Amino acid sequence: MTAPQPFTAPSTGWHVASDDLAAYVAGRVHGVSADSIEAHLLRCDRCRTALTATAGREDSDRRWAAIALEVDRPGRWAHSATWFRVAMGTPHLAMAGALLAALYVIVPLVASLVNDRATVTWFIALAPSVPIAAAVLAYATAADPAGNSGTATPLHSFRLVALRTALLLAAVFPIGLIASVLLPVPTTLVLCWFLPAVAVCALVLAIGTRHNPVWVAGSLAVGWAAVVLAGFARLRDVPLAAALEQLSVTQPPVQIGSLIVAVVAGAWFVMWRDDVTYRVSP
Amino acid sequence: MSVVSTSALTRRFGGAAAVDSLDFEVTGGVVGLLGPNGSGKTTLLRMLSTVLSPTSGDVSIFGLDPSHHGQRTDIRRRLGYLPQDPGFYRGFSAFELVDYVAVLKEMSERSSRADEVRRVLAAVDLADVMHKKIRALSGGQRQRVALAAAMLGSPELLVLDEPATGLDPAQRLQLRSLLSEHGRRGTVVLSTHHTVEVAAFCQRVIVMLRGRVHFDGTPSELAQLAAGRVWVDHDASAASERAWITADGTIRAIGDPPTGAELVEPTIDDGYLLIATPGAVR
Repeated sequence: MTAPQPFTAPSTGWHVASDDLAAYVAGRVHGVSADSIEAHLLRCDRCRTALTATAGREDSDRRWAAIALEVDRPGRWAHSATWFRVAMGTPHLAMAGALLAALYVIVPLVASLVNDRATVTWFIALAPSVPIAAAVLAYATAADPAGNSGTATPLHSFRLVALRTALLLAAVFPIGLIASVLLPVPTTLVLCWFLPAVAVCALVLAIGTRHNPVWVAGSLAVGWAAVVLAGFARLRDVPLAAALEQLSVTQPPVQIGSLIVAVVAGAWFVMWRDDVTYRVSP
Repeated sequence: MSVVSTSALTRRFGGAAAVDSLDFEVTGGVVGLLGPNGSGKTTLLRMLSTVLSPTSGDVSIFGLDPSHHGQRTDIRRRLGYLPQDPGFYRGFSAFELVDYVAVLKEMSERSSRADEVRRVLAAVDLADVMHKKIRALSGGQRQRVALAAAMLGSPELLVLDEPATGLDPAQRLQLRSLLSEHGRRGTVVLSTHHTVEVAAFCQRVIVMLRGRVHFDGTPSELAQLAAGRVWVDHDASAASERAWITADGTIRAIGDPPTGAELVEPTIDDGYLLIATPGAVR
């Protein structure tokens, strides 16, 4: 078929060729060509009349309603709440959120069902670092193709990473909580990572005001993982369920300590946010 | 009062200075940056739009310091930035992408945000295709989507890195009109390779070479730099090293004219080439 002319040149007097219209009515036109014809039909009486003649009145009315619905239909994000658009408003963030939710439910479930010590060990070792890693990586230039369009906006800075991290944590925690009630998963396993994760996120944001946040996140992740791996190594002769309860990172001192660290680091971040360096683009 | 003011502004990448001890001031209107690739235009615009910090020296926007977080956020509320490579989510519609940037610009009220998004998309002549996926838009249409995002909220300062890229002549004309109108109310700083654009609607032109300003004046002053140094010839062997055959078959040359040369009225192109082309001035 003949390729339709650009939308921006209606003054050229272009109209949909009768063959193309017949092909369109028959459903043989797809993709950009169909889009072009539909956009043209929206504003061209002559071609709409021709469409009616080609398709018949009833079919034309039905088809016309479908076209108007499709072309004017707002995208899936358009009616989302503003906070949701900030947190999940890009494909990478939505994917990161979905993967996180799955990670914090499926991994403990599988580990419990198969009673696999290695999976449990690595889950607790890595879980606290994943939310901040997801937020920082989704913010990075390489992962955010449209990031450049928003770089000079008030919200586009470390503040955005902080907000996204907080929203990711807030979204994931209730899912873990529900999973611990509904699924045959030890509550300790599902929830022990949460306060350390908040502490790690707050520390990365706080120290990231002075140093490269990627290096800070990496160092904290390695440090936490080392503590967890050493703890499990020390309890290697203890059954998994008992080891989980005895592990230092699941004990109140570490959990309460994480909460305190999170509060102090959060306050530090708010106080020293002026020192956040600019986003470095390539 | 200055909208933009720089003092000894320098940005280095490794050992090389992309912008080298730049001092200039912008008080309003449309300012065009001209210069070959690698002359420092993009680096300068990124510093003016607060997305890149200087290595040394000072930059002040609206009298505010972008190195200070709070002031940087205030600056970003008042400026619009079109990066050289905006990047897009191809699965978003034009409306969704601009709406996402509007969210990052702190436009939290959904209804007024949607009105503003429609306004800027209509201003760049994309009203008809605002709900089409970006993957289906042409390069010129995508460039206008990014321009629309920069114009959200009618910012006092528009920083545009090669805004005419990908636009056809009719769209360039529309761009001139749009930016001239904006320049009457606020300030536009743009970079371009097209001297025609600068001559058409910039009140001031700055020519950059190797990170430094080599000319700062009006377009007609830039053209007058070449007064007495542009001539036409019919003998190719007698012409300057900077010479080319024009549409009417004569040879146009720039440099030190030979005795008896037929001097012609210089254009802004001639003035720019005289500065930017090594060896044009002996």
